[in-house]
Amino acid sequence: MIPEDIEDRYDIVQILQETAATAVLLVNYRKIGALRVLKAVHSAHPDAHSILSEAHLLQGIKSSQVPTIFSVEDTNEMNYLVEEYVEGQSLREYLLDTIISKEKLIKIAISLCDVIEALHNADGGPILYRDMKPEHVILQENTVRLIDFGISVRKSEAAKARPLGTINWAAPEQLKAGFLDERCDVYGVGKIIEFMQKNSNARDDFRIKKLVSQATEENIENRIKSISELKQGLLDLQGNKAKNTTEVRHLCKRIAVVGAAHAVGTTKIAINICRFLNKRGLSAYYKNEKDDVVHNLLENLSGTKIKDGILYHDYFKGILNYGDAVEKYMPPIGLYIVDCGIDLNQAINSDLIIMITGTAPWQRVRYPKWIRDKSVLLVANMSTKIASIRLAKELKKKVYMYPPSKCSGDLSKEEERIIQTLLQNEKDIKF
Amino acid sequence: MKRILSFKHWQKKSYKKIIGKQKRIGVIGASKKMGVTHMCLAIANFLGSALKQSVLYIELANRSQLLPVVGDKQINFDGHVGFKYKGVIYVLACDVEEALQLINSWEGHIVIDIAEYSEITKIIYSRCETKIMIGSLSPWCVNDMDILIELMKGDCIKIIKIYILKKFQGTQKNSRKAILDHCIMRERPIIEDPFKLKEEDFEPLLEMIM
Repeated sequence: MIPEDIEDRYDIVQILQETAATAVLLVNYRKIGALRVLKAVHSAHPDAHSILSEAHLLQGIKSSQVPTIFSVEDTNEMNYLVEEYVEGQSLREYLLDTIISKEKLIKIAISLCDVIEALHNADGGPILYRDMKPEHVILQENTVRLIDFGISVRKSEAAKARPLGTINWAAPEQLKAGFLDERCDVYGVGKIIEFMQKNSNARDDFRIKKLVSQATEENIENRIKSISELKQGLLDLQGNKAKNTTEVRHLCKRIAVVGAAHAVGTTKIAINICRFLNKRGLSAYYKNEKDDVVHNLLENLSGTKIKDGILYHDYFKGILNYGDAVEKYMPPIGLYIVDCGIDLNQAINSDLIIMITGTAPWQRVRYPKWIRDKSVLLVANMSTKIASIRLAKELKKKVYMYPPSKCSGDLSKEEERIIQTLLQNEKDIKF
Repeated sequence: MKRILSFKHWQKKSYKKIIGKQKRIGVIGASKKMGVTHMCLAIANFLGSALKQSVLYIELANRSQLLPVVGDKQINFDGHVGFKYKGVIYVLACDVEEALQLINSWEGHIVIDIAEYSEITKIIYSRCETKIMIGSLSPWCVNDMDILIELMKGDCIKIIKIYILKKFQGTQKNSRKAILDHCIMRERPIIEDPFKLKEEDFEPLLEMIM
């Protein structure tokens, strides 16, 4: 159905989509010679009002990443919506013949999160996009734009909305007409990241896979709770925790020290790495979010100092986990040595993972699938040379042997040597 | 250059003393509006949030002043009803009998906010390892302090720590000899917000509870 009463103003350039009662046309606005998208629906069609609601929705969004609405017309026979024609290549087209880098993947994903964040923070209440798929993500030179808001709804009206969406892209609760909130778009963005990862040189990156699995969790309760949380996860992957400046980026590197089992010396090695780096003139901070290790050090060490939430002792700098009744201090800028205990999920978001293992026969040691990733270093502590060689063969991975510690508080030469070996390939760490 | 807080004078002995041993700290005011509750809250939050210790706050009073502040999350423990707020457990409007039960059963530090010193409440106060009195030497308050010290004579006056609101030179000279003979008076520290402590508050609070 091509509308007839538009010919005085528009030249039809291309019919993008056409049914008996609807049409989406690429038109030339004769007055200024600009391309526009014109959507027309017959007034008798059940979706006739959707054009008006789409226009209303788009008006409340403060983002340059969504198309501009130019006009809405309502005649006896037809409803029209004229909006900006978003030029560029769709993500699907782009990835047909391009393998993207991890950096580009994360950049696109963050940009997509930005536009969804704008929708969720729109004037008049959150808008649920509901139609995330590669065809709707348009790549322009330095930006990512989103098109087609035909099935978007206000969150407040989501309960009444029809269960529309694209199979394999829409969240399961959306297709089953279940309870809908912002998390349906988290699912959508997660699917896009998954799609990009398959066409990238980061196909096996376990950190991205983990984020995707958290974002596309079938059970809504277990899914990432908001688009901002997903965006933060992406920023963490980008190594961009403090500020978006290259000057501080390298300084906010996170090195996770995680145990493959209990009692393998994870905390001791994490503390020693921190001391070693500070001794070499780098600002390194020990962090343990779950236990009060730094408070215990305060209790047991003499000659400690406290300033701005950090405990100083010789070459050790540890972040104190003050409770809620103490003023919050800005996290320092520097290298973070994160003692993750045996929490693999906490370790996963770090730039480098040092996994500590033991080879004692009574220890139950479990290795994650990502153990073979090159950003994961395996260190055997309290282990014999033979046991370490066996482990290396079994895992097909280099195993570093941590030397036995002396009782004195100082780092031994052997300890310093092994820590230096572990970190020698880190381009941001110069000794 | 910014000052780095150094706790050299206490960290070798005192800090371990605080963490290693559970303490009962009783605070009482010589007159009304001496800031007893404010100081108790600061001590409890210091122990709970800064030192990560287990802390019970007992409000020994007929009516609770703290319920609107800390009463959001009710908890039950060992047959008692309490409220958890910022890591500290509060038992509000507590009577002597319940306070005694709590003193006997609680494993951790206890801060006792004593609204009034009497024959009944002194049972609780005398069970505290650290006894703190907050008073004022201003002319209109000094008598209250004299009366309370007189009442405490023979009980625990020799080991009490007296904190005064601020030095009031004229009155200090004329204040009863008993005060100066028996106790060392210190100026009460100014803690801006007991629910948002700063690192510079730690040292005076630690001295107080040591």
